[in-house]
Amino acid sequence: MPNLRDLTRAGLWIGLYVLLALWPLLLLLAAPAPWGGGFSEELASALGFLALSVLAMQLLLTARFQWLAPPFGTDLVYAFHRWVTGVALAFALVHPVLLFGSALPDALRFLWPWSAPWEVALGVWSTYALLALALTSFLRKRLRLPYELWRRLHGPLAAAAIVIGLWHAVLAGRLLSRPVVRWLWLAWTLGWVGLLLHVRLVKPLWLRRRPWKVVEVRPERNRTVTLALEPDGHAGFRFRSGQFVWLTLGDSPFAAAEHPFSISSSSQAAPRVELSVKAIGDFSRRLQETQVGAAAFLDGPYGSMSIDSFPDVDGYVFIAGGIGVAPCLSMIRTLADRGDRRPHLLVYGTADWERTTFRDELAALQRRLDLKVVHVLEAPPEAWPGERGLVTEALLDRWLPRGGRHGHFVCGPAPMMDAVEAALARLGVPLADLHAERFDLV
Amino acid sequence: MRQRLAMAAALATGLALLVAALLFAAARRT
Repeated sequence: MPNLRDLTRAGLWIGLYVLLALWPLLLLLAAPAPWGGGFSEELASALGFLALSVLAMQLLLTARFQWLAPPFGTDLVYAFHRWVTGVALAFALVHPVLLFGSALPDALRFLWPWSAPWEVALGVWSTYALLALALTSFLRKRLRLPYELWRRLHGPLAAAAIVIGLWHAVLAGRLLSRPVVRWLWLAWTLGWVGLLLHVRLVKPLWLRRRPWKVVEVRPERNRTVTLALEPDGHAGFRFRSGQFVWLTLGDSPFAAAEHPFSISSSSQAAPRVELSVKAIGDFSRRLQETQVGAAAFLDGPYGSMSIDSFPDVDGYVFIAGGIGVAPCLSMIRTLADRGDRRPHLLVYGTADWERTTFRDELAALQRRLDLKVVHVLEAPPEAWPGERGLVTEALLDRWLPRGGRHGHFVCGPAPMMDAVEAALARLGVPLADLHAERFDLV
Repeated sequence: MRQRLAMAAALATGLALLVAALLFAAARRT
């Protein structure tokens, strides 16, 4: 079972979300405005306000406040961020349908915003911005939109949807007619503007004063490179093995080319931080050409996937696919540096023996730890005595430790994680003992 | 599994907010 502290934090987290999302409605109830509409108009207004509220809250979800980090994993916050867009979109679309009622066929001409009254047109534009946000995010890969371009579009589109939507609420919403409500509404809006300024301006300025330097570039197997970074003129940060950072290379942390990478080095070696990156996209390909001495910025550490979040177990089970081994390696190296004596297991799926990144390093770690490494090769050589194919339920059943309580970590490509998470559940591993974070979200 | 948890949480949030909106509309009408 998750411990009480985690449950309390999860409860507080969800409670805070709902309370903040409901704030506009509470505000309108506290200082009721006169209104001659019927039930459906009132409902339409409420849904319109809530759509805006959920949209504004999206910023808070991804604002990377370490003190707000939930106990259930940063990747779930991002997944929630993704799915709750559907709620905002549904509310935003139902809002005009309810408002126009039987006049809807006639009001369809407002879909062309230039033929709509000013205050209605703002609502239409805000909805279009929201639709564009959802389409570019959910269909990014199908639209072949590069990650950098998508990130460049995401912020301005989100800001447009929210600001134009708020403007629409002030002009079209009679609920905001009372001065006191208007002032409180303004304060609510300014709060979100402040958050936006923090994320886009204050945080990058803060990061700029804490640069890092690439001190070593180590080529690894399978088009992977390890970058070792050290703080340049400051103390750096402490991290828990398994956590990740957002990396920006170059002279300015304002660049949009910021990417999340797991730390692969031991937390005992801090403030030195190593990131192991496989050439997959444009950015990771460019990273391969990084030179020693290059400047970088690290925003972090983030993430709750760590051996240190679950210290009281009889051992750890790491299940990694491809470069997903990086955070597992960080945790295994940390265990070795601490002289851990418990038995641990790594099930490591790769394409073939030549492309098994860190295989020599893992062999060396086995001499320092009670660590069993099960290599699972998709295309093994003919005389390969070990496991082959994919990491399946039957395979896990053969190797998982019996008895005792173990922390399970899963990290790899999305299809592999789906399969392994489902397999572990069927094998009776409680959800509380399963820790996974994935960042392949858009 | 965990991803479905996030989807379920989003759905639950949507339903909770919808109920809040219905209550709001009912409270304002009376």
